Amino acid sequence: MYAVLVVGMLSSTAIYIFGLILFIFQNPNPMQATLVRYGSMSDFVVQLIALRASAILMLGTIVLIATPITRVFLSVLVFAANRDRKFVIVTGSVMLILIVSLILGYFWNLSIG
Amino acid sequence: MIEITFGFLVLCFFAAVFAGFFGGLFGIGGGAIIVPFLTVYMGVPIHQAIAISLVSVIATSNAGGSSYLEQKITNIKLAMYLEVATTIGALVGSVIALLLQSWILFSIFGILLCYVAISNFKSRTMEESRIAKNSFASVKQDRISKYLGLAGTYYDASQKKRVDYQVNGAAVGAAISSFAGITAGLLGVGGGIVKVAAMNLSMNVPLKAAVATSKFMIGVTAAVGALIFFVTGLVNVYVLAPIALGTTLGATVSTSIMNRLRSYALKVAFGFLVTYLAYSMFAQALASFGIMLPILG
Repeated sequence: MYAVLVVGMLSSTAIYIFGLILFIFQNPNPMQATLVRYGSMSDFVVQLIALRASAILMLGTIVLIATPITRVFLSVLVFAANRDRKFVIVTGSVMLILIVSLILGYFWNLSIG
Repeated sequence: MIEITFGFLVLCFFAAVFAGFFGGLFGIGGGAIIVPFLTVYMGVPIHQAIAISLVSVIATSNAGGSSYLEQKITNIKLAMYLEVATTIGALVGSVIALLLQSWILFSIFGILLCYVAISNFKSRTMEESRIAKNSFASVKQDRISKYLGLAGTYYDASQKKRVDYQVNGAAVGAAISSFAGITAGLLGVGGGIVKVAAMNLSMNVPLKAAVATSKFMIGVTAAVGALIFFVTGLVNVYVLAPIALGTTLGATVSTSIMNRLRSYALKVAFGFLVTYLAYSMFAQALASFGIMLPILG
């Protein structure tokens, strides 16, 4: 569990620093910060491969949000391996709530277009 | 519209180091500092500020949480148990936010913070004498804590003593933590202040163990809100990146020194922080009636 947090922290930090350096080089003049949106997943991947600063920063954000979720998922597996039924239920329900919020956010997004 | 310049990035970074530093000491995410900073001084719209704050809370929780895990101050089982309550709360919070008028929410939050501040000042000397007398270990566990085995132990570096503690009031603690989750979903904070107070004041958890356990938990609480905002597309990555880097650095520094500080000093400082936040909550509530009180960012 400790390893998940450290890997998540170090990799998101590295990606953010890289993204910010790219950003400063790609935009020498002050620019308007608009919200970044992607039409589709492949759209995002294309920009990522092209090393667009916005896509790199978005990747760092995904790594960041995924870290605690991975930590919860892993602890379900650890407790299951130790046959600790009580805590499989406890951590399993946290995992369930996370999934519900993802679905909720998705539909919210659809409803506001 | 926010204009991003090099100076803007640097300013965000240093403000975030400050927020991350204090967040690490008190087991909070620092969202309570970041949201006012971004909205008042940087002109970031409130919804974007809350989204940025939620993601940066995850960053400090990764950095601070891992540091406290390594120092073995965190009570992992207690964290997992309370996480159920805080995540449900965070989910409910985002829904309630749409239903209740904001001044009511700010007032409830303000009253709660006043209570937390007063209890912290009152119990400021009690903590160290209880550690000296070993009385954290002699409290009777309640049924839930006993069933789940929530009792814990840590080494206090300022008192140079191993501190064992039993946990009681697990049901009350969970109820207060779900309230912490609600405020988290609502205001873009990790809800750490309420969680630290719940563990320390009603669950018999020593302050430092409560701070470390809270730091570990807030990442998951914030992830619930962050997921919703992220999928909705409200996360402004240009502002987020320097903020997240700053809070990570600040949290890394403060979590490495926290255990050496005296809990007396931590309690008093925490009390002042909470008093100020209570004031700003009431100021927010009054602002919706057109009464403007000054808020220090």
